[in-house]
Amino acid sequence: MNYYGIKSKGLSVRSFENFQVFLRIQSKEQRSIYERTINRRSNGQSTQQQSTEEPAINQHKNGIGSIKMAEPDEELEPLFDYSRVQPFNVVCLDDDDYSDGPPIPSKRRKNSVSVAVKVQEAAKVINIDDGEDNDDLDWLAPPPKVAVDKKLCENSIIKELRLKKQELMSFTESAKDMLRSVEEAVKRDLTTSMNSACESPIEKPSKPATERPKIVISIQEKDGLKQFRVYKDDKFERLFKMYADKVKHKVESLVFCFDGDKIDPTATPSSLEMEDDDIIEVHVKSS
Amino acid sequence: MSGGIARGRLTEERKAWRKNHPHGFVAKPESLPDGSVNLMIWQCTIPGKTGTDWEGGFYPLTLHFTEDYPSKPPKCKFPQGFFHPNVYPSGTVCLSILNEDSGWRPAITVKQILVGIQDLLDSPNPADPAQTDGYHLFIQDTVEYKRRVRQQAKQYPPLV
Repeated sequence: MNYYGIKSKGLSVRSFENFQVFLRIQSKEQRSIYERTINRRSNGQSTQQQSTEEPAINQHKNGIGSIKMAEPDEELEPLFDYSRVQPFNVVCLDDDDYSDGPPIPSKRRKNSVSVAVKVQEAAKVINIDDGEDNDDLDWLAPPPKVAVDKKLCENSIIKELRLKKQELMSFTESAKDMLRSVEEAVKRDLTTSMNSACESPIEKPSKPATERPKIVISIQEKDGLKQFRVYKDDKFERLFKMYADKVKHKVESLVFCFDGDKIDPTATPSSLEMEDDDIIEVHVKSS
Repeated sequence: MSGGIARGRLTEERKAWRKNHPHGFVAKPESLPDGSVNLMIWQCTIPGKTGTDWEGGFYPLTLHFTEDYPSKPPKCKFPQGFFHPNVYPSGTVCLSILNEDSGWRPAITVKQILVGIQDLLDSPNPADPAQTDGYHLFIQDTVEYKRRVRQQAKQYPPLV
């Protein structure tokens, strides 16, 4: 049979091949040993070698009931656990030497059976501790109930959580709505107040505030600096009047200079190519 | 080209000046007839300090920067024949901080130059005379010296 054609999960073909060769060699040796020991036993002889093999053989006898030539590699427990590595069907299908069927599953079955027995024992012990004289059926019944109860509890908790979540969601929604309405109200107030502010003092065509860039201009007197925020396209005469009112001077008695030049009241910050925080100097006429 | 450094620094100086400068001072790069700006020559105005004989005068000063600025200081010139002990007949100011070999440091700003020259107006340095007329009157005839200073202040009235 060709071993190389078989899919080997995770194993390289090369290592698989080596392993198969090893297995064959080993199994042959083991078979010879078994044959020898069995022959000796039947002859009533006991050797040192036999004593080492004996428990394995006994166990085997108890488990399956008969020793078969095909099962040696299970009983000898080779250093490497091939059952993990080797694809199961390789052994049973492909190896002519193991015509008697898979040895490994039997061992597994044994293990699982013993575990089941242990579980049953444990269950019985618990039953006795509870002091109840119920049948197995009665005893078996409760656990699912508990489980169901638990599930119910969990369900109710989940339901509660869901309800709470829904509540929270609705709460956040309402909060969002509130915020939105407040924002809109503020915006409305702002626009109306700004419009009124723009319209009332001067009969200026009120453009939307966003379309008119603003600029911060510093007006420097001899001993101080005042900052004003004005529209870039607003004539300086408005700013000058505002400043004159603030310092309680007549506009006519003040001279405003930018870069050493007197500022024409009809000029605008943008016409003088002014930037933010640029300084306008103010001089008070002596006469 | 080292001129890039000079022009870059002067652009920064200009920007800083527009946003902060002492009251009454003017400093702006020369505007050429075609509307362009020559960053290498600045037209400035220094006001006379109040409480001194120089008060009321707004003295024009021209700063001539070279491509070596700020490694080298600008040449600062008043109008020709300016009356002051430390101003050469050509109008060039003689001041330690404007001397490449003594007080100049590249970190000195235009504002510091102009304020330094304003200080020099009322406190001349007799150890470093640059013109005979101003120097002699300052040493020998204080009354005449003061009269000349006040007279000159009237020659440079405020521009606005």
